[in-house]
Amino acid sequence: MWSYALKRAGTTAVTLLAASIIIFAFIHIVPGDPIYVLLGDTATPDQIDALRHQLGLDQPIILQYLTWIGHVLEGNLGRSIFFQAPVLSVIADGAETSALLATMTMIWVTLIGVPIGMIAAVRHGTWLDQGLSGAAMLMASIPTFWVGLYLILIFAAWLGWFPSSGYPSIFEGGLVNLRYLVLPSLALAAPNAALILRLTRASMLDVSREDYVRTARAKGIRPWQVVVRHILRNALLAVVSAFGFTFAALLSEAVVTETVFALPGIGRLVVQSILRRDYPVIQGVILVIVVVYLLINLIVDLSYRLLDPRVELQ
Amino acid sequence: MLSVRDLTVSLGPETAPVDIVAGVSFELGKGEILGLVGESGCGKSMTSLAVMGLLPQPGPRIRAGRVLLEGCDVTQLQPWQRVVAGHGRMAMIFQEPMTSLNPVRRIGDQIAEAVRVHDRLSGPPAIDRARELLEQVRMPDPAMQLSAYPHQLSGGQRQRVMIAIALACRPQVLIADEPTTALDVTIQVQVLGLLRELCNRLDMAMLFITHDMGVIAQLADRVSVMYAGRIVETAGVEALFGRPRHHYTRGLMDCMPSRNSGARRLPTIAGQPPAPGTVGAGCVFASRCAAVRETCRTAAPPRAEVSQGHDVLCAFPLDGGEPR
Amino acid sequence: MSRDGAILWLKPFIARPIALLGLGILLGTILAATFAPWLAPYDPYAIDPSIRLTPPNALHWFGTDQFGRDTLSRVIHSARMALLIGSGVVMFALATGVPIGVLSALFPRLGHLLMRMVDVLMAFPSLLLALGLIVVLGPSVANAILAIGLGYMTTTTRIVYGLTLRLRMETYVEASRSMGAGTAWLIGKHILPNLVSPLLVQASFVFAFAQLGAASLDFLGLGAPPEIPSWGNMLAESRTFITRAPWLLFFPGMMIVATAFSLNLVGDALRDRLDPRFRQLFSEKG
Ligand SMILES: Nc1ncnc2c1ncn2[C@@H]1O[C@H](COP(=O)(O)OP(=O)(O)OP(=O)(O)O)[C@@H](O)[C@H]1O
Ligand code: SF4
Ligand SMILES: [Mg+2]
Repeated sequence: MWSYALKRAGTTAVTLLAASIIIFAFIHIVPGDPIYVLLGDTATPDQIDALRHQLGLDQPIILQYLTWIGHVLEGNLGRSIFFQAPVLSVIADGAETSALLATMTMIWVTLIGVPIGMIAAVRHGTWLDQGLSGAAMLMASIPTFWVGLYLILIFAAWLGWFPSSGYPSIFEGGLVNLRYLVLPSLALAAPNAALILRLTRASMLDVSREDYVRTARAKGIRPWQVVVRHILRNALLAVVSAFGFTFAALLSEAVVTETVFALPGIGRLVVQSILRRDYPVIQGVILVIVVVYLLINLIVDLSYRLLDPRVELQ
Repeated sequence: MLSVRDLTVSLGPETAPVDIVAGVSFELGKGEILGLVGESGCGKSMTSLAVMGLLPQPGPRIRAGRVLLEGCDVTQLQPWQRVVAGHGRMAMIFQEPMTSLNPVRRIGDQIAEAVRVHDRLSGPPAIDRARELLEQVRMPDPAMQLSAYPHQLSGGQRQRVMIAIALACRPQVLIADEPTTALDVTIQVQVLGLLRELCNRLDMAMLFITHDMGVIAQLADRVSVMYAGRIVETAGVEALFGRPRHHYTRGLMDCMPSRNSGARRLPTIAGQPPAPGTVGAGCVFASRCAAVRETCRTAAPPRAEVSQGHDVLCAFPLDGGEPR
Repeated sequence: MSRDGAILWLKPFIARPIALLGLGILLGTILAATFAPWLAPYDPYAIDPSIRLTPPNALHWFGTDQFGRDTLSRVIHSARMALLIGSGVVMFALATGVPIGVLSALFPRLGHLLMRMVDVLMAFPSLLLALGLIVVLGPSVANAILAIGLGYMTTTTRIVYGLTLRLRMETYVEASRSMGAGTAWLIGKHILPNLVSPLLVQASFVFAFAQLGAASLDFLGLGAPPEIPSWGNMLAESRTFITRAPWLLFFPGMMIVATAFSLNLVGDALRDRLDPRFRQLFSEKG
């Protein structure tokens, strides 16, 4: 287990390193010299040279990369041009919203996707199964922002049950502020719950064809006991590994959802920074999201192995 | 004990069924070992799964026939339904010990689960009973193995666990579907020995399925030979090996290594068994039979009792006295 | 294609009425895109302030937008953009994914390197990758295709790689290789023909998800230029009128759903008739 964990962590580190090169290169291939972006077109050549030197842009590219990565490891992601503040603190401001949104979404995804997927699998081949599978496919085909807009219309504008936009921190207004995240998380959960539903169903059907399920039936235990004790646990093992992918999809779709609901998260930060051409922030957010994504996948992968006793001895 | 009558298992639509098991009948007396032999794909597993109520769904289904356990009709009943109805004393072990145990649950749990159903025990007594069962199947260090996972055991040990699970049902009838085919020869001998001993000691009847005539010769009291979904000959083991009356049985015997001395290549029966659904009105073996005649192809052969307890499905059975 | 061949291809659809529905919607979209100028009752660009935000009525079946433009006509014309983006993304994904995947599987050393690079690209969530690329290239239809396509290039490469490895191991390919068959011959004769059906499945799913990706980019104002009618642009423009004119967002949204859904249905039906060896490569992850 430990040697596997180390190996897996090593691969993650290598991937991260390669990704960091791409992210570093990003700022160098964006149109226009970042110097002009910083100083505007009215700068004198002297000012330009001075800033170029100050930022280390006159150094060889390799050295620039090493300096950059060194700063990143120290937690210094550069300064936001728009906010005139460290990128890391700008990102940290949005982290609470995004983390809570993602968590709440994952809770919906699990609560909706797994049980309904189970029902579809148990009723395999019936009208109920076909209806649920079809509904899941339909849900996966709906744009999240569209669902979001109609959720706002119905539950915020017409019924007034939930606020339509924004999110004041729970640290200031208490846990009741979570109600601001109910509609966005539901919109974000819809397509992902659909994917988890289909995956749960498919892996339960796969497992139910295994020989050991036949052995369990042969013992004379009841069908629901066969499902709970033999099919479900083994099938969920496969579902767990999909949670990492779901989380990744979620990080990206949150970009749109946060925009629709005007949530102060890092997703909306990306979109606004793109429109403002605030390149250091874009770069920083991409880096942070990639790190989070890779770490979550690492954790999911390792916990998957912990749940499966077969790897104990290896 | 177990009586199977005209069992027919079919695939495909109700209107155009394809029979993969066609009118199989056999009787299994108390403590008796009946061997069921036949080539791969002739329907042995389907017969046994149909008897147990374990046919895969969706898929083949029992279209006709009856299964009687101690005189009670258990046709179409799944194991749990049999248990509820009080006919739980029939168990089965399977061909693939590597995949027949749940990889993520401990051996003790998997045995105790069956104990709970059949002995209505729970908690520590169930685990005690599980350990006792592991002792019965000669598992080395049973107390330790209770907390092992299947991947920590060898193939032979896993098959012993499967037998222990079957014994938890306190079976009067045990169905063993090629239980040793996947094992090494030495392990195979040990497991066969164990099964025979258990049958004797627990006075348990066994339907033993294999395609190995040698194993049948050692183990069985009576033998049924299956071909293309039909039982073509049934006899006591001596009668069958001494005086086979069906042409197919005779062919199988000629293929046995012990019957062919020396360097000569093993003969095989020429041709292929017919695919399910392609058999016509006549004898299913007609396409490969050396003694085939015109009537064989047009009319189904009768089932004839050639001597006491010796049935043959052939219009022109071999003469018992014919020199071999 | 022979008649039997056509029947073979239609079989999964005939057996499943819902898949037939998918095929129908898809055909409808293609027809709408092709004959848009004839089908649309009005000029999609014609502005008429006197009929701003009218609800659906006999003259304007889907109502009008904030400039008094006919929603139905705009919805019909938008089908062109949907098909353009969808087929563009599919072609980009196939044109890059197939060669990279096949070569990676045939030349293990190169393949190892390339697949690691694919892994790195996969560490970027696909919409984020698209956004980053749009930043570098600037928003336009072609760049939207490229940006969305990049995300599906990786999954397509993975699938082609997996398929080719399997095909390569299969004995008949092994045999033809040992008889001195050239690599080009091997690819042309044994690998590509076997990739056709699985790639058709992949193409359906990519087409479906490209609709959603393009809609997201349009909605953020980073996709097709706002003057071009597209379902995503229509949603972005009328977003603020949702309480006053809820129907405005309904029809373009429904069209996105209908196209994505129908392609998913078609892909699903095609996957089920795929060789079981290949089917498992298309997991339920979409
Ligand atoms: N799920 C299924 N669906 C359709 N046909 C099946 C299915 N399972 C088995 N068959 C067919 O049923 C026939 C009987 O199979 P069965 O498994 O009973 O043979 P067998 O005698 O046990 O062979 P073996 O010695 O290989 O185990 C075979 O022709 C097989 O192709
Ligand atoms: S009935 Fe005819 S074909 Fe069939 S086994 Fe007997 S002799 Fe051979
Ligand atoms: Mg079998």
